Amino acid sequence: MKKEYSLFLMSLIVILLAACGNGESDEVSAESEEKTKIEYWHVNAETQGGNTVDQLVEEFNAQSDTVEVVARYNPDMYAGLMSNMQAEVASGNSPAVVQVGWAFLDYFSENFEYVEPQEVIENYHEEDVTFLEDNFLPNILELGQNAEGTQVGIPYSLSNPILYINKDMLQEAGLDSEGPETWEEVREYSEAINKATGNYGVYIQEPADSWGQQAMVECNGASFIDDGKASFASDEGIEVFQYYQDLVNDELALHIGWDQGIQSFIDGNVGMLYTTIAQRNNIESNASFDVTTLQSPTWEGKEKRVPAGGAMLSITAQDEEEQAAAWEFMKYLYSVESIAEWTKGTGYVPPREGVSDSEEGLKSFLEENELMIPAIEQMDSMVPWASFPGDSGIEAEQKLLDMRDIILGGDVDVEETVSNTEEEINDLLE
Amino acid sequence: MKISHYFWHILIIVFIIIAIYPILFAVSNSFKHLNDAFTSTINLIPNPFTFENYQRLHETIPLLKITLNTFVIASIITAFKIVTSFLAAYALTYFNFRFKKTTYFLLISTIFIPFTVTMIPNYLIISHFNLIDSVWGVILPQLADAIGIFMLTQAMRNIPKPLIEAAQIDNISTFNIMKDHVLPIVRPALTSTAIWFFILAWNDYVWPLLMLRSRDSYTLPLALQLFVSSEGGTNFTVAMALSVITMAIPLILYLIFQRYIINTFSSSGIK
Repeated sequence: MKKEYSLFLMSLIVILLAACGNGESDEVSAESEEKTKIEYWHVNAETQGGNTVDQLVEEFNAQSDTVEVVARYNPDMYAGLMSNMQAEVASGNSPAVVQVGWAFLDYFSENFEYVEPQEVIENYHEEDVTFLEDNFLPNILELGQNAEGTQVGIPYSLSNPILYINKDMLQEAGLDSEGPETWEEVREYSEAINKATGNYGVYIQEPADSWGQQAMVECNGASFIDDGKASFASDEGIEVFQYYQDLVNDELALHIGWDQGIQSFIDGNVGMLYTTIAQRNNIESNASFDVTTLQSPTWEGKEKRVPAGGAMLSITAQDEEEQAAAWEFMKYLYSVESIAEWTKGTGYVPPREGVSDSEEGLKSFLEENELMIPAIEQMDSMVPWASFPGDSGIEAEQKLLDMRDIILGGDVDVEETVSNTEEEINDLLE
Repeated sequence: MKISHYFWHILIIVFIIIAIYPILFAVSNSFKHLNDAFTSTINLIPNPFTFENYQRLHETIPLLKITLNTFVIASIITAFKIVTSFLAAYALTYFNFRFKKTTYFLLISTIFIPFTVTMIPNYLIISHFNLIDSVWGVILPQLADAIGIFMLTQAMRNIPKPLIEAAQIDNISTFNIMKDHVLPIVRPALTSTAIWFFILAWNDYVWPLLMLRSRDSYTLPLALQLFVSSEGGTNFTVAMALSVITMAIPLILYLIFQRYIINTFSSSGIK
């Protein structure tokens, strides 16, 4: 027994020494360089481009003589990043560059200190003064503006909803493999698929947000939020939810959680899938049938308007040196080559111009990955993700989810339910 | 007689299956392809059998470094907690000093302060010392624990006072009384508390999450989060492979020290 005791003690000592060793090596590396050290906070898990983040940061650090970036992964997506930010700010520090999800744009701009990217450029990097207007579509830049029109950040991770098609199943149902262009046609296709194969026609994504539903409502010419007030209970909005309920009631659309819905499509139990372009890699590499993608359907005779998913990069660095460093790093991330890597690694669409058609960008990649093209082509139809302002925003969002569940759950009166929910949300927001 | 005998055995077997199934599930899925994991959820035998999940782990994260970090953090925390708890418990049991009862009461009442309350102040202090993103930042606030003091005080109170008094009369130093008389008797309590502290520190998530930034300083539970994402999809089989590694190491340690641990439990009592 004595022997084991000393064995245990020995291993403890070894551990302690090893731990001390770590500390020393850190100090040495900190002394050997005089670069400005900044932190970049992101939410990219391994399945969502985490390796690309590390690779881009490493390449940046290797080529920069002045700036050293440390990337920090934040679990639990953008909400998790926001709570970590709160702790960090409370301790008087802040990262230099952070990813802010669209749904958190207002929350972020009301609660945290940030600088407008254009201001940083004008102060420290004269040469890039037209970088933003040269390289971004105006409607894309607008995604990063808050209610007052301040440019809070620059769009970086960009996704939009598209329609994935199981070509084999469409063929089996004797349908035109061009696929549906309108929601009315989606129903016709679903009926044909259901009749011929007994499968569900379509699954419309149902995660813990109303992004997919917003797309349907916006495409019908209505808006989700108007001037800080919920406005989805218009005639057009009610029409959309009625259509959705009928699809589910007639067993043409599957009503299930997001992960299972995507898996059902991959397993060949649903003919069409309406979800984000960010799922392309997952679907393409796991489906055993011929899969293709189409631009988001719209309504007969209506203009297409799809909400943007993803995040922007905001500068939260406080002192001048770090702000200048933050832009140097961001400029690197927004270069054609970096954005191309980013797109390959994440499945998002490139936020800036000049990437999809250039050789050093994605030209050859897109030739091999045609499924991405519809998402890039509908970029000029992108509108901001509706987020409710103020402290009750999260509660309001929850009411929308509850409404979706009630409507899809069965025979409630859609018009009444939608109007009541709109009223409740507007009471909350007051 | 016979029937109740069988009944208890069947009941025990049912409980064993309930306890062991999630572990088997994790192990089996860690050797499956992602497709296979979704289509044959119930089937525990991977078909085909693959090491690609473990390989992917090895390629994407500094697994060895992360495992070592977790081990260093859990070991140092456990060692310190045990030493501080033992010394404090000894003082609170055998020494007489003013406000002894009050001190004990105050120490024990810290058990009821939830972690969420002390989280932010701790963060501010650690940040002040510039220890964020270091193993020491995680360790420092966890070097002592009132639960350990409580457990060991309870164990020491069971030792008959005359035993200690006799030793004192024989002019044996306090250190030697601690080492030769008290320690052997409370060793079972000490061991079980240590195992518990180790597992707690090993699985800890929230505090290391606040402290650690770069992947090289991650712990295993943090690394697990790298494979779970709502927008990019969750890679369940890789996550399972990492779960298996996370639970395997305490298990292996237990197997190595098992003989020793069981010995201490059976040798309790006063000789």
